[in-house]
Amino acid sequence: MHPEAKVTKQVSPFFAFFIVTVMQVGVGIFTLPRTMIVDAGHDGWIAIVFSAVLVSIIIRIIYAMLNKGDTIITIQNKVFGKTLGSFISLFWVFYYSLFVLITLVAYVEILNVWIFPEVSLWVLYLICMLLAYNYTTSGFRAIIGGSLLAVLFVLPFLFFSHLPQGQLHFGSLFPIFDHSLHEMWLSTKTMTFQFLGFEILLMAYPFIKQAPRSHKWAQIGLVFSMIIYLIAFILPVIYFHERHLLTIIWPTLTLWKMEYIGMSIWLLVLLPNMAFGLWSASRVVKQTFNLSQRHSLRGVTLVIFGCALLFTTRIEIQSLSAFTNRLGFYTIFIYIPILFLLQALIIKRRRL
Amino acid sequence: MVTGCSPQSHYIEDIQYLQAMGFDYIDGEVQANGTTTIFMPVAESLPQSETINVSREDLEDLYSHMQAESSRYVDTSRSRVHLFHQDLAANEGIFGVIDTIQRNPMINQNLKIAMTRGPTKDILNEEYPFHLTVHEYLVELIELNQAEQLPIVDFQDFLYQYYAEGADPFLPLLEKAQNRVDVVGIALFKEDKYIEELSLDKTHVFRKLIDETEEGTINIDIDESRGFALHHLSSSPDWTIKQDADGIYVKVNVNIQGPLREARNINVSKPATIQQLEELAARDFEKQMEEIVHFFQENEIDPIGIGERIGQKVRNFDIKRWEKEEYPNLNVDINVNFTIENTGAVV
Amino acid sequence: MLTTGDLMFKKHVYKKLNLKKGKTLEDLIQACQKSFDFVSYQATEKAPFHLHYIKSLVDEKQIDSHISSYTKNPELPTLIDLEQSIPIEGTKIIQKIEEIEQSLLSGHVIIQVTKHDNEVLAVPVQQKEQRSVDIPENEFTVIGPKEAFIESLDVNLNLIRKRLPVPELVIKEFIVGSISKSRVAVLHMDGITNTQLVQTLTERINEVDYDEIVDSSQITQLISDNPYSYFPQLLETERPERVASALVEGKVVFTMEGSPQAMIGPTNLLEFFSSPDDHYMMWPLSMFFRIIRLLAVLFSVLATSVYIAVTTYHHEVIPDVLLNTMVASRLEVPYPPIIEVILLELTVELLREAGARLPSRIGQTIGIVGGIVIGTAVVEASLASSVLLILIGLTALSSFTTPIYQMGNTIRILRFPFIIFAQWFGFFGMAICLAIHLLHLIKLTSLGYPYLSPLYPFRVRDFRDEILKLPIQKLENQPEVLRSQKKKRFISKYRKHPPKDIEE
Repeated sequence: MHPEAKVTKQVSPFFAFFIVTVMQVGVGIFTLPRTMIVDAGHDGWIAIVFSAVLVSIIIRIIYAMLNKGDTIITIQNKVFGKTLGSFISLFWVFYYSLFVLITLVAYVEILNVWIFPEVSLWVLYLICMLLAYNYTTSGFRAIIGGSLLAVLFVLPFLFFSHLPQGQLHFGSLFPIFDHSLHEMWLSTKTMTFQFLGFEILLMAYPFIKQAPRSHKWAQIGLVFSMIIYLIAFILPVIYFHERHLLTIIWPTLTLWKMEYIGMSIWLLVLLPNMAFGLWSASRVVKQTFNLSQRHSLRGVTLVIFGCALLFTTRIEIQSLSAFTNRLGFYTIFIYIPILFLLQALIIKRRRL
Repeated sequence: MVTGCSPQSHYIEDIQYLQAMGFDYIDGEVQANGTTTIFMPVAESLPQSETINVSREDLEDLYSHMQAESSRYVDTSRSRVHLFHQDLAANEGIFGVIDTIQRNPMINQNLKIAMTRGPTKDILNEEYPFHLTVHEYLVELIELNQAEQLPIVDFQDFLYQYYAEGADPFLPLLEKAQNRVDVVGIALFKEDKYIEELSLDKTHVFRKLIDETEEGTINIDIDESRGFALHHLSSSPDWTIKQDADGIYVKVNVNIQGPLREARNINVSKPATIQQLEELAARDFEKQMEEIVHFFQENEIDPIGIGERIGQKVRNFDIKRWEKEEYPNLNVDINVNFTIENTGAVV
Repeated sequence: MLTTGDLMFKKHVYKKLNLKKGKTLEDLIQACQKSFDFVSYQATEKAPFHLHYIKSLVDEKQIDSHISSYTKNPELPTLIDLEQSIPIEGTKIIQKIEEIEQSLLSGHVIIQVTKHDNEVLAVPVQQKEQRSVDIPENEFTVIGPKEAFIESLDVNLNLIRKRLPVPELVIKEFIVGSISKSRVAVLHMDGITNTQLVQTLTERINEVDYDEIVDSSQITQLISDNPYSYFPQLLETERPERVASALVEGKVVFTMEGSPQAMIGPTNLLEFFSSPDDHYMMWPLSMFFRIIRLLAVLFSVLATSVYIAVTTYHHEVIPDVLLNTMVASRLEVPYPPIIEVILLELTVELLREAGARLPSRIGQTIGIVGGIVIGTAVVEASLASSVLLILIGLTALSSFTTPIYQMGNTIRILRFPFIIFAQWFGFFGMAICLAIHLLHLIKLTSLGYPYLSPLYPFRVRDFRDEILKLPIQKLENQPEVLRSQKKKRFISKYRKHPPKDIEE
């Protein structure tokens, strides 16, 4: 039933770092400061740290769960039985595809607004999807390679910011904790959306050599993306006034010195990101329905491309991301812990 | 279908860049002027400037009407200077224009803005010395003066102060002279409307209250025959805000130091004299600073950003209410420490 | 030698199946007699011996001085007697027709007792025409050894053995090419090289089934992992000391009779940008030069496409101070940047091609004519902008910094996809092109080893000799990626420094 990944297709535990980093630092980094400031204002960074802590706990749970099972699919089948388990697996296909869709739509929107207002959106969708499809068909190891190169060579571009012009208002970060707990909680919820993506591990786990050892690297990846998010949040906050920042959709880009080159080369970060999503979605199909992964991959890619064509305006995109945000939050913080408890129960009962 | 497959190309040589923009206010209409550079193919001949003028009542389609005036593709992405006429700033406010600039992601947001006393059209149409094109001349003028004597404000700083509830924006104030442009001080704004101006001398003092400075000159006359002057003054303000039961207490310590470069009929060899001079200069600064703060309070504007400073220290602080009710009567405690570092090459 | 035997056996079977059975020595002699340089005669009327050889392959002086006197001697009636008398090493008595054919065609004299006898004595008297060992032309270095391989396999092996005088250096011989019968030698170090690697290479060379092979680069094309890639997957070198150090690192090498270079594998992308010089200079210098070289490659590939992207789409990124120059130089050019770039790039390629085909002295003249005369004229006639001309000149210059010629060629080609994509979508197009190439490089392997190492798979410890260049004392370990049998190269001992006064 569950095909063990061959040793030659596996990667060392160290690469869990790149999976987590590439999935988390996606396209969200450009819009992050504004969405964070809506509720928690200049205290958003506390929400970032807080939500990183929550996500870290979830990663721990995921590893505890996977160490006893192989992938989310086998666990679900064990817990819910084969019929119900397969049915829930369908949800994961939808879930992974949705994340690919949101990344694609958000990135193309940026390209469209900032560089190519006159290019039809479908052309950009097509290019991105074709490339992502190619990455996916090259296999898991190739996607990992792509994410490694992206982290090494593309993320440093973020440091080319417009700092000297204008003045930095370090005072803007004070007073610390000037917002109510409720506001902080709302921001934390928003922030978890940015940290999502590590769920790829639920499918990628059997492809990591000595997988339990990769837990450490997954956590380091989380810390790394948290630091990048903190920088991406704090820079605009000390540069723009809070009320001004509320009106800027992509503050990171406004601040960026290399926006044209950077935005284009960001493609290299997003391709592995989308490829991981496609890979996981098609992997779920393969494992549940015994369809060949290549066929299911084609299907998933086409469906995502078709759906992307439906989103053209900013408002539609916003509602899509709000929906994904909620869905992701409940899946990760409610469903996963419940599944973990059920799995523990079943294992205990079997022993008795 | 095919047209959307690739972005539209505009080759650099076919573009007319609007590099300096000016906005005037004539009979209730906004008139926009854009200066472009006409490049010459041969290296020896220098580029020339040309101005396009368009008057429109609403700002939104100003750019498209500028296009109508030119045979080449008009591009605003490289604009470096935006000038606003006093009348426009006083009557309509300038945020409308500024908003269209920040909304367009193609425009490089690293730009200078300033207010002018006369119509901007006159400034943009002039030919300036040193073979500089208009926008180069203006950028250099503003940049150099900001390094030497004006508080640093560019586009982003204006927006910061505009959006801040506890601060009001200000801009460099320019005036056209013969075939040059002079910096005559700063223009003070309430939100995006021009309120008052501050002369160049007072601007020096004002700058010491908000920025750390490395350059500056002061000339103090003790009486008719005696006086002294200091150059290369460096200064740094240190704002302290305390909240207690009585209310909010605002204090600023300004440390100024610099070398003495001119002494008229004073013997500066004695340490005691130096101390006296330091005291004299400190009191002089304190007096001037107090005057400026009072001037701001009378006009109910806060270019220093005292409200912002308090907001960063005090939790749950209602800046808006405070600026309206308490700011005009606020007592700012100004304290200047003056140090004369040396007396130059002679005693 | 076992493998050679196997191979001979294979060929034997092959022949048996294809040619008609029962080919005799007589048939062979008849077939050879069609050529004018085949000589066949009886030694004397009295002596029984018949001599056959191919005149153009043998040294006739040796026959006259060492063979004739014995074959004419009637006191030596049998082949065994003759074999013991002739003062030449390597004689052998053979019966198999294939072996006889092989010996005859490789410069042996075949001595037969009677015309119908199938047993012959083969005496090696090859005439060896070879040039002397010269200085390297393609991989010239200022410091370091100045010997280069020549077309003779034995001389080349001698050059390598000289540098590694240990029995662990194992050389296996193969015959490749169904007609050309080229001798190929595969070298590795026993106890260092991963045995699986040796096996991969020998298997692949055994599988080569091509009629005529005249240069080892043809074998490279036949055995490379991805034949559709334009990245060289084996490193071609003409420097024996580079081969020696590759062998010690645990790599395998093959070289062929008749081609003046050796192929090193597995290799990786970054290795193509390291010159032997790097190892002879002090490490800070070589690190600096290596980084310069890598930057030059990036510049060479990307400069012209950036020019297109910037002048066509992203003029916002041109600094104000450069705008005047850029526009002024473009103003009178009648066509868009893409045509301008392609025209000039093709001109440079043309000059380079012409320079490569001509004798070196005329080649220099072509360079001057092309570079100075055409360049100036093109700009004066406003057919191209002067800024672009500078860029093109610099990109050509930078592509020559690549130490390995093959990689230099790849870099020449690599520019064009980027130019086309830049014209299509500006910087974004270049990112698309980059993504495609990165994916290709990630998937590419060299003899089964990843091509992008040490970047991917990521091995920080291998960085010290690939990207950086650390002091030689730090290079204690073999590259991890090769999975060699011996991990440590040496134990570095640090000299103790006398304590400084401040430490006493």
